[in-house]
Amino acid sequence: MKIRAGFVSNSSSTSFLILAADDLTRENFFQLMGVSPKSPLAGIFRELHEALIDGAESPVDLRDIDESIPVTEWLDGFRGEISPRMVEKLQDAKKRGLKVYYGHLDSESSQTETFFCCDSFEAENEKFYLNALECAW
Amino acid sequence: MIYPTASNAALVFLKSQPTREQFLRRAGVRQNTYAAELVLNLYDDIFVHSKNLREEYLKYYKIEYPKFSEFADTFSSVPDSVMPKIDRYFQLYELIIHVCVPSYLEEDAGAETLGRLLRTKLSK
Repeated sequence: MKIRAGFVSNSSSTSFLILAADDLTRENFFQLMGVSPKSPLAGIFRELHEALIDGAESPVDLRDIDESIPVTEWLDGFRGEISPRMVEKLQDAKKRGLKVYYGHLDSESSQTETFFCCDSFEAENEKFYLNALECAW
Repeated sequence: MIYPTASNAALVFLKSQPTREQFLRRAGVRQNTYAAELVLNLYDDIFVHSKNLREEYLKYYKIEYPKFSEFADTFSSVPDSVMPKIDRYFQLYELIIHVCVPSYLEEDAGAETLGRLLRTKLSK
């Protein structure tokens, strides 16, 4: 075992997946998160929305995916493992013809993004499903 | 009243403790959502996991330190700027809490947000 006495740095990223039946506007995102635009926390959720949009690859329309391709290969460049929960949600989303946004949050950015990157969360309503459970240190 | 003591910590003076429901309403979040979970975690950070220095003093330290300011002086977390007023604050406020805030509430903007949630002012 080695013991380091100096400064130790660590960074992490959280992969996220958003299944969407509508555009991922700020208004829709606030609805999903359960926060009012007049909330004292609105600025924090605005920042999270921007981080998700900035950190996302181009959205994939699941209607364009060939059904013979395994689910785990649907999202090109997805960082980390596509969990069984994600597979289940993706299969259901394909049946509904939804779009997928995916990407990652980074701990080397703002304090707000770092917080959400280190948290592990999931949210769902009738239009969206957000999975940010896959935290990879 | 809120006195930031570090980028991620503050000394908070409050006359009373809000209920969880009041705190959620002030935060403008809906029950059973991720935002509500975040706000309730913050509530617990402040009112469950942090020590109320006033209560600690009255329960355990009043005999050793005749004045609250003498007790408060032993904490490096109490800013020097508060010390001249702290015995008066002790009479005015029921809760004197040293809070470590989550990183999304760090810096000045975070302290202002905390002030809005706790319905109290940020000291200049």
